[in-house]
Amino acid sequence: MATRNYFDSELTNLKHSLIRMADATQEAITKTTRALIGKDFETAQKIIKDDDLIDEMEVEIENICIDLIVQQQPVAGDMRLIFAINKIAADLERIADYAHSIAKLNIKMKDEVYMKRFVNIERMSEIAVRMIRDSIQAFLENDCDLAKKVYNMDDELDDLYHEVFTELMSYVISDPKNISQAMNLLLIARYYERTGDHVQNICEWVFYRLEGKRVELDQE
Amino acid sequence: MGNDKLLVHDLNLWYADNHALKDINMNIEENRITALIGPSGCGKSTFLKTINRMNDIVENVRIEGKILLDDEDIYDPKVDVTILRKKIGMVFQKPNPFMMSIYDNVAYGPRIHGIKNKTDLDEIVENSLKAAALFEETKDRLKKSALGLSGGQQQRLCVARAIAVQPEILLMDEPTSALDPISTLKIEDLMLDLKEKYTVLIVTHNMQQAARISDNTGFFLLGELIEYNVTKDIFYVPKDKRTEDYVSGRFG
Amino acid sequence: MHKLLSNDISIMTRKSRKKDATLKALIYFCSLLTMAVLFVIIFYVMVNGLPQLSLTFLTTAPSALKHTVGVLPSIINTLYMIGITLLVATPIGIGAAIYLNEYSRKGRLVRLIEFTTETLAGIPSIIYGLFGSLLFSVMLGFGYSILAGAFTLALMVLPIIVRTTQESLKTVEGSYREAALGVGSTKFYMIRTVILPGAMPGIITGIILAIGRIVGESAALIFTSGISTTMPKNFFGHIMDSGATLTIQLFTSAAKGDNDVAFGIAAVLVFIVLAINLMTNRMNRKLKKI
Repeated sequence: MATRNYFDSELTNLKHSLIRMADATQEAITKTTRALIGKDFETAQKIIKDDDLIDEMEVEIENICIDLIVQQQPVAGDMRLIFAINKIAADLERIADYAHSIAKLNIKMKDEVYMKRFVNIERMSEIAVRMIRDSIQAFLENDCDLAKKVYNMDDELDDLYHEVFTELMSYVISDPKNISQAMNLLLIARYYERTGDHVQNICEWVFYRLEGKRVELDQE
Repeated sequence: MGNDKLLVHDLNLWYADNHALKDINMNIEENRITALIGPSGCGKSTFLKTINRMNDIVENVRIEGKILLDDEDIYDPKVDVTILRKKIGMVFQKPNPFMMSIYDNVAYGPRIHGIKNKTDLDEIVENSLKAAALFEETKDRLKKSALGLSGGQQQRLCVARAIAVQPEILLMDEPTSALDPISTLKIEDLMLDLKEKYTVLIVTHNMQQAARISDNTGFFLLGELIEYNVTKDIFYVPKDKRTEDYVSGRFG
Repeated sequence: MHKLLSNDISIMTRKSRKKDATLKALIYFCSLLTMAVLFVIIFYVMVNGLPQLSLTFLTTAPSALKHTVGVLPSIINTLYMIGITLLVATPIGIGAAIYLNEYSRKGRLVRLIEFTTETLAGIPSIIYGLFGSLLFSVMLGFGYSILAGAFTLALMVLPIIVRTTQESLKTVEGSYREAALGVGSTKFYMIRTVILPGAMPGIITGIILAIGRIVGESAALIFTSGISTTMPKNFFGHIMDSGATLTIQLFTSAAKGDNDVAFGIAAVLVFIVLAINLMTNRMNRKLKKI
């Protein structure tokens, strides 16, 4: 169909903006974990600064969505796409904020020696990044099965979080001086766990795009 | 959910050899606004005119099927068409007030159906103009020519004229496409008021209008009723891809 | 870009358009010539005719005894002629136009009728006169009478009325018909209350054109209503009398050689024509305001 070429190219640009933001978010999580484990404070500082860029990306996406709503009066599939992208950008922005917060905690702990090796936290970071990547792919490809799979991956994050929790508790009990670092590390683990929750939102928007209503996936 | 005011069964219409309406089946709900949308030439105006049998005046028209108004088939040979048309009013695309005074325009219909008493006519004219949101603007010049009104006012006059005979159904064929944006919105507000007393059927090219004011929407394409549903569904989650393409504007 | 189309020229330059100027002058000259012709004719007629217009001229019948000339009978006959012709032609003409435009199916029959009407309008009036004298004067036995003349003129004027009424009906918006029917009107009521009033300006124009034709007709009336110029004795019975209209009296006077009388009548006719035109204009303007 030859009509609405301009609108269609704007929608394509919007999707690309979302992909860029998702990539930037994934990179922020990956980098902040690596900087945490390797005590790389330079990278941590960069992550803190670059969070502004990701915030700008969210605003840019929001503005494009508003413009399209006013100028093009989208309905049906177009409307659902634009609405969902706007919401997903908000979720991505929160996730990027977690990367920022983790970097700040990293710097806060810079003079401490880590009391343990980072096994579970590293694992949580990997899962979180994969979840972000796959959920965005599911959204752009309208893949409900993938969305459901990603949604359920959050269970792994929850399990890992509980493991971290129990482990850190035992460290504190054995040596109360560890409590400060333990609390920071628990906070960091929490951030990964919350990342999973936000990705679950993204998965629900996949279903919204298809069915036009909010779906609670844990009913499935 | 309301009652069904009109039931359309297997309606087919031919203009000579042109099969213009194909197997239309529809229930029109009472006291709701039903919008008919679709590209030019898809049959929606033709369908509208089958309801008050205005197609009868066109040459070479053949109609099959049934349209039930309150369980009576309007195409039954025993039907008196002038009484049918009293029950079903129509407003057209281009405002077309008669070359008479505003009063005479509104009183035209009631006079045909036997109302001659001046007090009765005065009352009917006033009520109809009020219902059409035109009374305040015209009460001081009812005897002046209707052609002195603006386009939007003329169209509201046509609505008043149509409802003066107290119809049950109001058919509107693109009633605002010849009007400026403000008059359009005034008429839309009017339609939302009208649906409390009448069943409104509107043909429109304006997608946003259909989305704004209608309760149910039917999408016509090449003489077929492709999808007919609650308006929210048609515009938020259409089932047929052709409907989706049309409402998104990806269509000729 | 082509050299001539380049935008280097300032908008302030004016190209000299000699051809346009000469053409303009030529057109002005043509219109002036037309007006001049009209004025010359009227002037000539008035100069020769106005002196003839005395009270006797305008208000008495010609009298051989008193050696006077008068045009009163002719004026009366002209009025009779207009009245009876219109009485016959208008209902038939309007009815036919309504049938053709509103009721008939647009097919070969309608086109045939329209073609016939067009052709009738072009037939020379003397043929009408011959036909009329044969049918009305001889076969139906009216003899030389105003009635025979009026019926003949009715035949002549019918195409004009049918055609102008038809055109006028066509100008009434189609959606009026739908609007009236949509409110429950029958077809005839709709035609009577909406279409005819809407078409009235055009119909009246047609009638006035017809009057113009009636007043100016000579050939058709010579063999049918005759050349008599006596005062009517009986209001209704007069229609069976022979009676000359103004135009006929002009013709007979000129044929006899009474050029003064002829110019006098010509002056009267010019006044009548001017009056009719003024009436048409006023009527059109009044109706346009509605």
